[in-house]
Formats: sequence, structure tokens, C-alpha cells
Amino acid sequence: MGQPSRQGIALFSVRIEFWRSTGVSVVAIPAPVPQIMSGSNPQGTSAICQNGTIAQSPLNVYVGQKIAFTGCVPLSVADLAISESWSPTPPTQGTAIASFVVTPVTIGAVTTYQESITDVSPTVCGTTQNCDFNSFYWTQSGSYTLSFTYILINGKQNSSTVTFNVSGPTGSNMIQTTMNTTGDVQIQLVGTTPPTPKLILNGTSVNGVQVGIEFTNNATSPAGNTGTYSWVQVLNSTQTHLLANAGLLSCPLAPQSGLDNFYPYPPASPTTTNDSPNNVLTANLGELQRSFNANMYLMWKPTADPACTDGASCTIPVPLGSVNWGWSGDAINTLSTTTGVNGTTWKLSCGTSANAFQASSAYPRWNNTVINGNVTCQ
Amino acid sequence: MGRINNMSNFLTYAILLFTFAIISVKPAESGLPEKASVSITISSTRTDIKLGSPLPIEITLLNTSDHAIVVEQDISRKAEFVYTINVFEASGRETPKTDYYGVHRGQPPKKPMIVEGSSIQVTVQAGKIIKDYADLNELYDISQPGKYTIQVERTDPTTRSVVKSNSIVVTVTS
Repeated sequence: MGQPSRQGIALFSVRIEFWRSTGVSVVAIPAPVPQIMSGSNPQGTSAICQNGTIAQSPLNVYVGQKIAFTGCVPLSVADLAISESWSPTPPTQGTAIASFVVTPVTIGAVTTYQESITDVSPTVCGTTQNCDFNSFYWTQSGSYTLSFTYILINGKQNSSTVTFNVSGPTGSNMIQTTMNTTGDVQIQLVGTTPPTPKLILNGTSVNGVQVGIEFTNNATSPAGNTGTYSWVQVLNSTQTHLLANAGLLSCPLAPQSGLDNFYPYPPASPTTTNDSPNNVLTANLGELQRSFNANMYLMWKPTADPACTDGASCTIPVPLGSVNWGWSGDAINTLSTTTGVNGTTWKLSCGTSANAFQASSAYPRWNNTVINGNVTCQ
Repeated sequence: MGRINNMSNFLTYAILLFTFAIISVKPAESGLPEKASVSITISSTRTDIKLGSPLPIEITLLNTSDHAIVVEQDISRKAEFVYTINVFEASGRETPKTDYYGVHRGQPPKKPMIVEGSSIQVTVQAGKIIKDYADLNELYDISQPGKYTIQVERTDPTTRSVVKSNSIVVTVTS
């Protein structure tokens, strides 16, 4: 419980004098139950306490919906409040986030994607009638209770709580992967004029189509909110080593990491996406070795609460979890189509891996965008 | 008069039968080339471009069949991964390729570099389109002012035949 400050004691003395003159003892004034109002309070003023909507408890909401509410000291004692507070503030770490924004930045013909994630900052109340909880988005399903307490100058206090029942998509294996662990890395002739040999991950057949790995969304949307799903792939490490005329080279010098080309990762169908990483093999190379490791995330964005008036910021995508996967391949130029495979002069050794889906509310993080195309070797 | 009517009926039946036979035989069975499942259209937002500026083109693939097809794209949507992009000078000579595009076409580069891609197999419903993009300055050494003719092609995902786009002409000024 907070103690009255020196300033508060001085104010107390002044108010005792006031109440003496009116014949009412301030010591006897009770602290009525405060109210919690739901919705944004863009003005930040106490008008919401008179004109706002009282938050029903429990409030049924969805992960990714904007959560905004205000604690209100009853008007009859608002002048006597010396302390107001929310607890816990911020919400328990890992359950909520203040913002998640991805901004495309185009320079010339190149577009990169800058990510901005802000944690919820603690709400610091003053002594006005209202205390707006810093707005945020729940990122994890569950039941959470937040409490608003105020203390009057006479030491009396009272509290109110609001409980959020937070729903989100469910499923034990929300991303199902299909990937051959043997024979997935291949050397193939690709294109027409002329066909070019490639080291490519695409030995997995899915509905008659060859891919390296396929990801299927197996999540079930919560009742009452279908929402929309999206994919995000973050490269943890990708690098190629060469044996060429110039000797042993690394492309680039250090492994690359970052967002894989696009935000969000393009879907292949309403419920799936896939990936077939590849390297062009040119005749001047003796050997090319590629290593690749990435995390594919499944995100869900709810439909906004009809009462939310904050436009695009009414909802954000929230992560449901990810699959860590990787592969490596080593292509050797035998200089002869007799010893090479698939009509090329190349043969290979290789390996793949795909871990099980890990449910998590941890956001994909990246500092730069890795764009397909040419990679300089050193 | 009656003989003429009989002859007319016979001819009508014969024509109907012949037409039905033609409709019933699939192109592949008849030896005729199968109809392509896609059409390709290229466009440029600018046709008059300053030398050295980006020279972007947009490539639109339309599924002209009556069923969904699966089409390969690179996830970067860079067209050079899945299309052969041809650029010709006004004289008809092919414009020299950059090192980067040369590697795409299997030519060893002058400087140590590689090309990495990630293809994705995308389902395109009947009548729907997908788009890819290319910056011709990345692919060709366009160092001289003049008119350049651009056309792209790719393998039809169903018939495996080569499908060509329309040609466009851009003017590069100094």
C-alpha cells in the first residue's frame, strides 16, 4: 500500500480545514468502488469516466485485438485521491505486446521490410480521476486479471478488477511439414535456353508437385473469429562455399540471416506454402556446398472488435509458433555427364532436417531482409 | 425434290457427325498441339527511360485453362528465376547480359559470385493471374541510348511447350 507523500500531508491539512469549515470530517469519508471503462481514451481526460462504457468482467477477447481500458476514481472522492495504480503493469512478460509493425522500404527496385516490436511499458498513474492503462495486444491465450486501486488522502482505499478471457487458434501441431529426409536435395536441369544445372531442394512430391518442403496450416480458429493466417520465414543462417579457380570462397564471407525476401511469406494456396531453395551451378566451379537453416512462423490476425475505432491498429498478427528446418547439399563437378546425374556433370552428397512444430508466442525477429539473387564471394 | 431433301438430310447428319468427332478427340490424341494453359503479358510503366535509371517490367501470367494449375515463382518474385528474358537492340542484336543474368543462363561470371533462389509452387485458379517483376538494368548491359525490344518466355506448366509474351519497345535516352 502506498504511503501519503509530504505533499499529500500538506494537502490533507488544507482539506481538513475545508471539511472542518463545512462540518464534515474527511477522516470518515469512505472510498467507493472504482470503475473500469473499456475502450481507447485518445484525449486522456476523465471524460471517459462519465461518458465511457463500463467494462464487463470477464471480457471475452482474442489475441491480437487492441486492448484499451481506464480506471476511474468515483467523482465524489476524485479530489481526495493521492495514489492510483494498476497491477500487474505491464502484463506478465510474454503474454502481451504494445505494437508490432512491419514497414516496407523501397529504394530503387529493391524493397526491404523493417520490423518494429514494442514491449508494453508500465502504466504510471497520476492523481486525476482517470488512469488509462497503456494499450496493448494479448499475444497468448489464457485468463488474465488486472486490478485498479486508489488511495484517498485519509488512507482509505478500494480496488476493482477486470478479467480478460483471451482466445486464439488451437491445435497440437499447427504447422504440419512434409519433407523427404532422403533424396530431397537434387541436381536438376532447369529452364529452356539452355537448361541450367541447379542444386535444389525439391525431392518431395506433394499432390503431384515437387517441392523442398511444404508447410500446412492445421490451426483451428477460435469460435466467433475466423481471422486470417499468414506465414513469415526468418533465415537463421545461409551460406555457400565454393571451390573455384580462385580457390576456396565463401558466399558471402559470413552466413546471412534475416527475413526471407517478403513479408509475409507468399502463400501457395489458402492453407499451404512451400519452399525449394536452390543454387545455380556454373561450369567454372569445382564444388559448391550450401548450408541453410530457417524458421517458418504461422501468424494469425483476428477480425477487429466492432467497438474498436482505431482503424488498422485495432488488430495485429500474433505468432502461433514455428518450425525450425534446414538442409545442406554438396555438389561436385565431375566434368563428365557420364559420372554426373540427371544429364549434368554434377553429383552430390546431402542432408535435410525438419524439427517438430513448437507452439510459441515469440515474434519472428529480423534486422535485415535477405533477397534472392546474386551473392558476392570472397 | 424428295431426292434433294434426302441428300440434304444426309449431308446435315454427316456434318454433325464430323463435328462431333472433332470435338470428341482431345488435341493430344489428334496429334494437334495442346492449347497452352497460360498466357504471358509484359508491360512497363515507363517507355521513355533515362540511361542508368531502373528499367522495370511487370510480367503477368494468366491461367487461360478451365482448371487450377500450379506455377513456379521465386519467392522474391524476380522474373529472371522462372522466365527467359530477351532484350534486343534496334539492330536486332541481343543486348549483352550482365554477369548476374549470365549465371542464370549457365555462363560463368567474370567476378566470383553465385545466384541463390527459393522457388515456390503456387496454385493459380482458372482465370486468375500472378505477377513477377524484373529490372532490365540488372540483367542486361544497357549502356547505349536507343530503342530496345523486350520479350519473355517460359515453359507452360501443363503442356511443357514454350509460351512467349507480347513484345514491348522502350526508348532509353542519354
